[in-house]
Amino acid sequence: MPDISDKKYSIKYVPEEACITCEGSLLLNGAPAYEPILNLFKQAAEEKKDGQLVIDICQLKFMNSSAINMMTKFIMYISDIQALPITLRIVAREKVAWQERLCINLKRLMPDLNTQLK
Amino acid sequence: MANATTQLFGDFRENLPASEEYLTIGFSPGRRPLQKRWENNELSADFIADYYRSFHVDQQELKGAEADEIDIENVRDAVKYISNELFENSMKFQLHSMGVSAKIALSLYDEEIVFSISNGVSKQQSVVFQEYIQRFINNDPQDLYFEIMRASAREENVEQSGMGLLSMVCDYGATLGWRFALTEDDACVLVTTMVCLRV
Repeated sequence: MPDISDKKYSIKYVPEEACITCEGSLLLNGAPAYEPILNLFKQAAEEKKDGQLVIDICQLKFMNSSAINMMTKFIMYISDIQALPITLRIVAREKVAWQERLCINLKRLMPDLNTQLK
Repeated sequence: MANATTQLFGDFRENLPASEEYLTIGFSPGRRPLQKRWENNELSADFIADYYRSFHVDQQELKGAEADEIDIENVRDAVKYISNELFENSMKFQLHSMGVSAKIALSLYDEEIVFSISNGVSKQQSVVFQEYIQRFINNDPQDLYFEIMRASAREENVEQSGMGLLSMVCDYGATLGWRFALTEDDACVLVTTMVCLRV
């Protein structure tokens, strides 16, 4: 699965570490522009469905509402639509208010979601 | 005052107190390809957020209070998020045939920031937008926010979900209001969205 990157962001998946790292600013235009990233998330989750997957957003500086929408779609995909038996952990920064709020919102959609603030 | 050609919704304040610190940016969404203009959104949003940051630090110094860096960065992030969402919306919905520039104004007060963005839309777009606003006003924002998240996940490419506006209320505690005014030639509608953020 190739990484996805642009001059403003990068999404890297390392299967051996079962970790997707998101960096930079996600400011793409609407849901269609986020499809490749959403598909990478979904493929990684399918691959690790009987184990654990980590999404690390500590180095993510900014997300627009379309990026938030992409994250909520992913959470709904694994928790509700496909009901994958995966253990998903989101790692975010404790002192960045929007990251903490995103974790709270995603956990409301998926109560089993493991969120780690550091 | 609203009149027959003007309608107000939500928490729209027509007579804002004069602000000694303000910033206005005008832009013509139709002049350049959307993708090119889209790339400028972050630049403009960063500019507004840094303008606010500078004001906030000065205010803290005047009060003799020590600025809390984490707090400042979090409010800066909020200002950037709201500015960027407003820019994105104005670019998505601006009626290009309308010869009026879109305009964002930022007014700074001691405990509040008021964003006001105006852009032209067609009459048809204004009807669709007003239906969304009615749904927004008549529901609990948190319930609507999560309802839209769940619905969006089940449908392919749901555009214009209004999540950006809802997140301003649900994630940042902002209040929203709108003013719709028919243009003099009765051809289209000038929509002003007002967002008030307590800081």
